[in-house]
Amino acid sequence: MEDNELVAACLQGQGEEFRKIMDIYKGPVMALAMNILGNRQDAEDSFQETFIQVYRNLGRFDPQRSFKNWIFTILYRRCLDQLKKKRRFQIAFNKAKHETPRGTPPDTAGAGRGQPLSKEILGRLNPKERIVLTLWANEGFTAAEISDVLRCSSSTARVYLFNARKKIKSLLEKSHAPF
Amino acid sequence: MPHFKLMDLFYRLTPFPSWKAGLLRGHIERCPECERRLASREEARRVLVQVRDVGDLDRLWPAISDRIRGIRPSLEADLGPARDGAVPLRAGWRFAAAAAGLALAVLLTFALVRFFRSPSISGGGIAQGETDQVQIHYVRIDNEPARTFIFKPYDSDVVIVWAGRNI
Repeated sequence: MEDNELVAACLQGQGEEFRKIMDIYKGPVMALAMNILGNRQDAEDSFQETFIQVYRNLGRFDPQRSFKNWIFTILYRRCLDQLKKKRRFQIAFNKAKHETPRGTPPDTAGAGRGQPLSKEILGRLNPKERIVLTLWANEGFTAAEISDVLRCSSSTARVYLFNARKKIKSLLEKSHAPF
Repeated sequence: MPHFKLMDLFYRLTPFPSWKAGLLRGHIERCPECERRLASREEARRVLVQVRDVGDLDRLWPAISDRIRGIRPSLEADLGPARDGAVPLRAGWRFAAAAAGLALAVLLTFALVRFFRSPSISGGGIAQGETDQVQIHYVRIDNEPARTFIFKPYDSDVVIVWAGRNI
């Protein structure tokens, strides 16, 4: 069944059809959330919030637009909210503890094996660069498709992608450099 | 300077995303040497979580199902707060910084050119007599004898001495 037919069925009150939508997109959505947030717990929270929001807003989905891109847009915004909340919490926590978490050793062990992106890589890429890189590498999106998700110009998407690719390359080269 | 570093420098100096994207489209994404300095899709996938890595997600469905029960899909969009408002302001600052940088670069270049191109002039002294006569014994430019002209505008105390190379 096509995305638009599933959406129409959900709108007609067939809530169980929404499960099919989730089954189709749960993998890419979770992978994207983990790559943006770098933390499974936060990614699961964003995953749930995203699908609830998708359901709430199904009536406003434009059938001319890609459904996948629409879900990714919602997820991206939820992830940004999550990061903002976390930052606020971290600031409050650091104030309370009177110290900042610095000098932690790089953690690249878990990358690409079901673990979120390493902290070192996350630190080098901002959330927009992370989502752009994930959409480009995992989903095979072009700059124009990425711009549709981020709701920015394709020039801006291209610039984010270039920065992300350059940083990743430099990081990979450093990790393979002989000591 | 290696080719990519030079292009990267151009890229960094370019103030607007649209211009940067033009540089990327026009050169960097087409140039094999530049492309080698960027991570490929394969390399990026090595550091990213893949769909096959996310594990069992069916356990998240009951919580979602509970929360959407009783909710009717709305016609009101609620996609979260718009965050694009900050972009024009940032672009404005970038433009101002780029314009200031450009003006500074032009001034510096002008000053440097003037500094290095002005020849050293040495003169043998100006003797001024009681009769308002000006005499120049010799003028040299870069240790070569130079042609000199003396002007004294009518009704003025100003004396202009012009020295030029002998060609």
